[in-house]
Amino acid sequence: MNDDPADNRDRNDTKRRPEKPAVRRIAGKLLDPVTRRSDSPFMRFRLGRFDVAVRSRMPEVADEFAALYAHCRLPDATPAALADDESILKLDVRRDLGFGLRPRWSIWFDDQVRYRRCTVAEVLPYLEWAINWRLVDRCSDRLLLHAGSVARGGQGVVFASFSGGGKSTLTAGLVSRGWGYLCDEFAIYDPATHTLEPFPKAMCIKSGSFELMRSLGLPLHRPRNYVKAFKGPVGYCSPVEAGAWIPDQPVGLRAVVFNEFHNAAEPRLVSLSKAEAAMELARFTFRRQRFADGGTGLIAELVRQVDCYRLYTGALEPTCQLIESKLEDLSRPESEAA
Amino acid sequence: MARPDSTRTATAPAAPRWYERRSELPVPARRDEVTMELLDDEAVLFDPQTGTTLRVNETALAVWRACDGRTTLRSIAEQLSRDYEVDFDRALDDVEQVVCLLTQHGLLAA
Repeated sequence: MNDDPADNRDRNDTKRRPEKPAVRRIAGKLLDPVTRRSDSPFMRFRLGRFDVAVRSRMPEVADEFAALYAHCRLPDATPAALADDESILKLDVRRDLGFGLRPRWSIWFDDQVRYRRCTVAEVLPYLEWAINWRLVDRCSDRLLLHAGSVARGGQGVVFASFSGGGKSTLTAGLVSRGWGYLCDEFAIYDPATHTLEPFPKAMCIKSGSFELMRSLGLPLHRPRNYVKAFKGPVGYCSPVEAGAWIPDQPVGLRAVVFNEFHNAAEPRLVSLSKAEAAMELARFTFRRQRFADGGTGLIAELVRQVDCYRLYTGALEPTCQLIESKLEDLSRPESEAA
Repeated sequence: MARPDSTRTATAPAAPRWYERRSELPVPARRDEVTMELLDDEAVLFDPQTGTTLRVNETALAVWRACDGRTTLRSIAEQLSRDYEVDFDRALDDVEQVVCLLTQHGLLAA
């Protein structure tokens, strides 16, 4: 087990990566173009409406990625076939040049390096992270929320929170109870149709929830000790292996929930005013500055059409039950509810 | 024996009341660039220049709307006092607080 806190390191922490000696730095730069050249094919995947192409010089990572994303695999493609298609997110795991005993890896996308000097434990988490960031860059016409998104009975629910707020765990918990899976990290909201789009990436589970995942019977991929920056050790769960159904069409948004994790607390849902929800949602919207009005118009339009709550989560089981009963209430016709 | 000064004190002009002094403050004016999204009784204000987002409740929204660059604090407070049936002093207090908050967030013209 790799629970060593020394491994829970931030990429930006420059202290842990002293400057390379000049000779190594120059040699690396000279040889970089040589190591970049390769004609090996890319694996292709379709995540929602996004095409992703991945290639790895580290075979284990390629196999693990393929296993986790088997549900959305497309036929492989050569680099030449992908060269002119800018709509495809192209990611490449390459070995860093160096003379150390432990190999280091870098993650490139669209021929630009994004993460350097990843250890073996960090490659898959950073590959996933690179896909996420590319998604954020590409989603210019959608409202992209930092939130888990799930669906039931044709109705979508969004769980927005910061990292560590329990998005993935709650999403996994609901998926294990038969909910549809859209994404555990993002809610991709289309303002034109008021729908949520699926982006069925593998669920990323932090070490604190490993036992919980096992108790729910969800298969946790952890053939090696994955470490994801400040999140520390993580494991992955393929949504299909977890028994989730993945909507093939966008799903109407019904409720937005801002969850806060309070250990051992009785779960409760508190209704929020529209303005309060809009303020909260603004905090969880990626790159909202790209909209002329900071996305406030879109956010306001979103909250006008849904019910918004703050959720104080405790134990997973009663929390899931609470959400299910609330969604049932919301689904009832108004006359019946009265 | 000289008379005590008490009579002179009594006849001296009274100092202006605190709200009368405050009403001499500049007339508040909202900045044109700031956008407003109405959500039920409340609103969210957004300043595209600074990225500031501010939620205002019903009362603060009434003050924001009255900050047109022509209406004085005193007039705004009088209007609020009538609309919400509260003391003028309390209304002026609230108006001042809201204007202070809006100024702090840079949503009012300097």
